[in-house]
Amino acid sequence: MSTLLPVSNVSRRGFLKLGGAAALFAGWQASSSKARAASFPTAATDPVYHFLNRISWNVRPEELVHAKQVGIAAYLEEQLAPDTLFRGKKVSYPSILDLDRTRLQRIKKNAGETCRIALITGMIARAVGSPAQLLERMVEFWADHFNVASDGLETDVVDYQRTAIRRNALTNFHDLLVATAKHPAMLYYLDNASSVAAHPNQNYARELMELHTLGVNNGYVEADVNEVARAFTGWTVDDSQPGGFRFDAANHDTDPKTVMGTALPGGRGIEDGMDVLNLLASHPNTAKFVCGKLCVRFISDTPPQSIVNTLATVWSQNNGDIRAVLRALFQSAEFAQAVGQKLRRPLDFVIGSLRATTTTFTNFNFLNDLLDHLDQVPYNWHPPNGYPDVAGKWANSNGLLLRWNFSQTITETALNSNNSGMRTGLLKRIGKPLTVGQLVDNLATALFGLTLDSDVRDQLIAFVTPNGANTALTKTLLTQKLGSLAGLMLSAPMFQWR
Amino acid sequence: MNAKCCPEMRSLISRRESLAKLARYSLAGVAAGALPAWMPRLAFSASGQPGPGDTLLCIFQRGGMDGLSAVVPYGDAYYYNIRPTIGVPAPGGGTSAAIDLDGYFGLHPSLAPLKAIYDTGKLAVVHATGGIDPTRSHFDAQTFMEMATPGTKSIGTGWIGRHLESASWVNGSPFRAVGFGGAVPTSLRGGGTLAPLAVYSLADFGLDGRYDEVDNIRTQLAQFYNVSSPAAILDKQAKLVFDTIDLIKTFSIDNYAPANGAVYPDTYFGAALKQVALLVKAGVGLETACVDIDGWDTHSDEGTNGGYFAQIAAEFAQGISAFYTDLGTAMQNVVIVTMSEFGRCAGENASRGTDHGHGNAMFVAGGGVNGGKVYTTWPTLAPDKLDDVDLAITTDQRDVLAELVDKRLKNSQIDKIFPSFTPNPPGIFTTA
Repeated sequence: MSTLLPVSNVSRRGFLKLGGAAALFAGWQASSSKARAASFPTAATDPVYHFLNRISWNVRPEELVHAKQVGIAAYLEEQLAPDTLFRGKKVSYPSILDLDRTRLQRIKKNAGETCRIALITGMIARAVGSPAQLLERMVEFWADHFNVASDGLETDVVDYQRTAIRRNALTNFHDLLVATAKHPAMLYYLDNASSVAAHPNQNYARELMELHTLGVNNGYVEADVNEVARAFTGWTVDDSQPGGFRFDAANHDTDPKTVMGTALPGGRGIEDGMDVLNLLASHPNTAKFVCGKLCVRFISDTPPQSIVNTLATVWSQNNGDIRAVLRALFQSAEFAQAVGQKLRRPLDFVIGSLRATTTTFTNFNFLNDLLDHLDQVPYNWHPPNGYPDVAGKWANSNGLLLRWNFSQTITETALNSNNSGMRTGLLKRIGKPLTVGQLVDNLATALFGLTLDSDVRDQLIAFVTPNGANTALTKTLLTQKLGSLAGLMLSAPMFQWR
Repeated sequence: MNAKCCPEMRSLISRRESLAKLARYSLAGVAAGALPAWMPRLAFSASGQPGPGDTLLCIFQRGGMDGLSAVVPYGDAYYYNIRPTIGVPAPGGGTSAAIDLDGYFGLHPSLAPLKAIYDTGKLAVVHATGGIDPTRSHFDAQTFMEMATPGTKSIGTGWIGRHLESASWVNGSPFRAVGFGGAVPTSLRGGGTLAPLAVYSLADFGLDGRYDEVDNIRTQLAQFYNVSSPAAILDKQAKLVFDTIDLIKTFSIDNYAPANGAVYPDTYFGAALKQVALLVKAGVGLETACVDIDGWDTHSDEGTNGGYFAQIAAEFAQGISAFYTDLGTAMQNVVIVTMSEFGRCAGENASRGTDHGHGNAMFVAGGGVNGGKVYTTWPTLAPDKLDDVDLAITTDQRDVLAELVDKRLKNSQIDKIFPSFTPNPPGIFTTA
């Protein structure tokens, strides 16, 4: 096991704001619709390929075969019923992620660090290995949307991602919202656990409206923040309760309240907060705001307003049913037209590379330090707005060099080991190519599930040999070139975009 | 590395050392070239600076420097009572004695090289300062200090990162914010588009791959990303990568010759400072640099002259002094600030060392410093004036940093950079 950093007790007092979390987005420019690289492969513009490329971390050839057989609608239905996808195959991830909160609280030694590592390795392991790709993509989406940084809250976040996020990732928004509102991770992270009638804490109330539901100043005013804070007084943590939530009536503000014009009568208890959640979940601005974020995640940095409106309507007609919204999203014209317009975020790239090369890793520190340099360690984003999702944030020279170097680090292990702790099974998946042309083709299939355009194919062949595609692939040539060739393919623009 | 430091500090240090083992090797270098024409959106001011203010060098002393040994309050009646074996003798007590600064405070003899700068009026001490959160955890205290938000980490960004992101000028240089040590320094995290260059050594910024394939890999990547006429967003970043690699190759890092007879310590700290000096002189748009020096966690055998403190203090002073000498007149537009996550207990412990404390000393140096002074509202070491068992803090460190950012870095967005804080400028810096 790698060297562990002891984690000490982090104070959870307050959370400072720089003029609202929205200010953090200032200065980033959404990429233009012309962002698609010139060398995006034609094969990747196929509608089925594009669909798979967006709902999974990368396209596996066997999954593409199946998707082409059954079609997008049927494949989507399979993905929306994730429990049916495993058929006896288990994805291996740290078992601590399945422990309930009460069990987690009883861990004596190094609980924080163990959970921190488990959250990261578990997220990556499932994203790489699970056949339920869309479920994992949605777990990631909601973990960003309802962000809780694990720092100091590691054990709570383990339970949070399992019970609040994962359990509700494909159900409906209202249930998801309530689950996050009641979870100790969120109650601590945004200070509601210590919010009492005598001193209501506005932190959760504000982010609930600004980040989780309506969007900044999108249907509420400052006075509403205070009223909502009052409504949630007494919502707190009690470790003796399964799940850890308790409504503490003694600390609840029972005076009447008015939230966004709706009267909440006096003399009530947990109903105040529940009514607020119901109000927010069913508000049309919430539908627009959250659907807008789904479109940014799955369509493009600047999605057409038409699809946002369409999805918001589907949402409202289906009471926030997430599956209904996803069906409409992935079968829309706007989705089909957005080929190649999303830049892979660093974690997308790292996971996509591991998946494309069937690479396992044993050196956690190496991967953790790489992701730290790339600024996207899972569950490690401190402000509540979650990881940014536009190209302008992630396209920088340092990040690009790190991606290129990580590619070579992985693929080098096809034939040699290095100190990264990576080991790729790529060699087993390229068959027995007899020529350089076959090597390039088999790699393209194994890595990306596609056939390359002839110009890129020719360039890669020329990288291996000046003597053309039919050059015999000797053992010497393969040994010399396999690692760098495969690494180049991962480094190319075609794999940075999808 | 101080073998006597506490386990938390040990694991933090070994993690940094393991990062060093992942360092890579550069290709051979050539002679220094002229200012690169490719530098995007970079306009130098009349003073040759990439921004209107100074270049900032922030030195973080990891482990908790014992400020009471660094800047000795020999005039304080309680000092020698509570430090019977490790108290630094008052000036006049021979070569192991403190070097007098102002009749009350004296510099640890191992810090002698700093005295010369102090005497030119370009180095100042601030005492009884630091991060006001009471935590004694290295990790938390360092994070609170680098974020400049005592008691909370939720902001996620560092004070230097927030400064650069809120600045009114533009600097697209890849060397705008450089951190030496491998991990991205928390101080430099900006939350927006700022991408600090975090390297163990500049020589690490290069392409990986089989040694006999790296040139071919580069050629092919340049073709893929259309580097000769980049249009798309990633093409431009790719060109920047190659141009930065090429520029670094011209630096001839291993053959760097310090000016004016400066001699850097032969340590990682010295090597990092040398590279900062190199970058300043190369005029490539460096605005802020972060360098660490480990080894201050002196729980035992701290010693006065022969102990662990003296060793690390000597390296610290030699490094800063060499940098100052090397830069010469360029120091007019450079500001150095030092900090440590906390000071150490006022009294020594049973192991002739000190445990984690609170109030501490900082050094600032550069052309814009009103130096030759010790700035402090000295609370004294009287038992009833201590903060628990530690030197109290009477100057919030952010007062110093806010004045530095405002006057020397010329950024007026102090409320964004130091949120929830109203600074009280101590008059340490002149306006640039």
